[in-house]
Amino acid sequence: MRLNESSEQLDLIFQALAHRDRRALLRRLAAEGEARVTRLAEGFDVSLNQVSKHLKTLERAGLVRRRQSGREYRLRVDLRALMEARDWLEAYERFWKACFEGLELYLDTTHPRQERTSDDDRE
Amino acid sequence: MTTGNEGRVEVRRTFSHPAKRLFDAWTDEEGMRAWMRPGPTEDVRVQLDVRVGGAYTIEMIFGDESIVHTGRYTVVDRPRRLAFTWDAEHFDEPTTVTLDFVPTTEGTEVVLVHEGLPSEESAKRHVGGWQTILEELASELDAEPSRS
Repeated sequence: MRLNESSEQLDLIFQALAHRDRRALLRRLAAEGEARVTRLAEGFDVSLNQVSKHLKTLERAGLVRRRQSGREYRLRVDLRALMEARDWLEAYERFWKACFEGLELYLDTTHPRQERTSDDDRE
Repeated sequence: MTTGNEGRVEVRRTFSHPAKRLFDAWTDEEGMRAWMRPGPTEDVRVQLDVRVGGAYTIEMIFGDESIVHTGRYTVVDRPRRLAFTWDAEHFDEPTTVTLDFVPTTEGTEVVLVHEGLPSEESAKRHVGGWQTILEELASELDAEPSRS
């Protein structure tokens, strides 16, 4: 279903943007237009390996696209995913609903129904 | 005055548990660690200083990364209302969360209102911080003649 797909995508974007280094990489990539991984990693205070890992996370979220150019890959920012990332309202509505689900499960487990009447002093 | 953050989310759910128990689930570190696991979260670190003006930290862990939420309690009225500010790296300004615990015949209805979220509309006008990063990215990409 399209709605679920876009919701999962939103989770990935949410997670990808949560890291300072990844945001810095995105900004740098946007300024460069299109760049190789080694170029992006230049002057960065983290290892090339770590930069690759961050880029993979950004790619999974659809924020960065990879294109093969000869023997190397070139990367660029994808604007469409960024537009979607603005929808904090949807992201948080889903976040709190998931929390409520977890809360109900937790309380139903720690206080099973049959034991509830005796210790439940209602307000 | 328009701050630009008028996004509001309201979520309600009725639980077959008394209000005190619901309230306490939100103010207990161990309890919260057990139930606040949205989406791909693997673990949660929770530190709560539940009193008006007291601070809290909720760190949601995904593998070797995490999202940290912090804030301060603004209303602690057991078992009726709990309110706190809710801040994260991705916000320019802290947002606010208010929880009302309303007793019903079935148990308790919990009404959560999250306010001050950057709405799509406000994001377009808002300046400063995180939204600006998106704006910058958008304008840099727009200005960029296609190279491919």
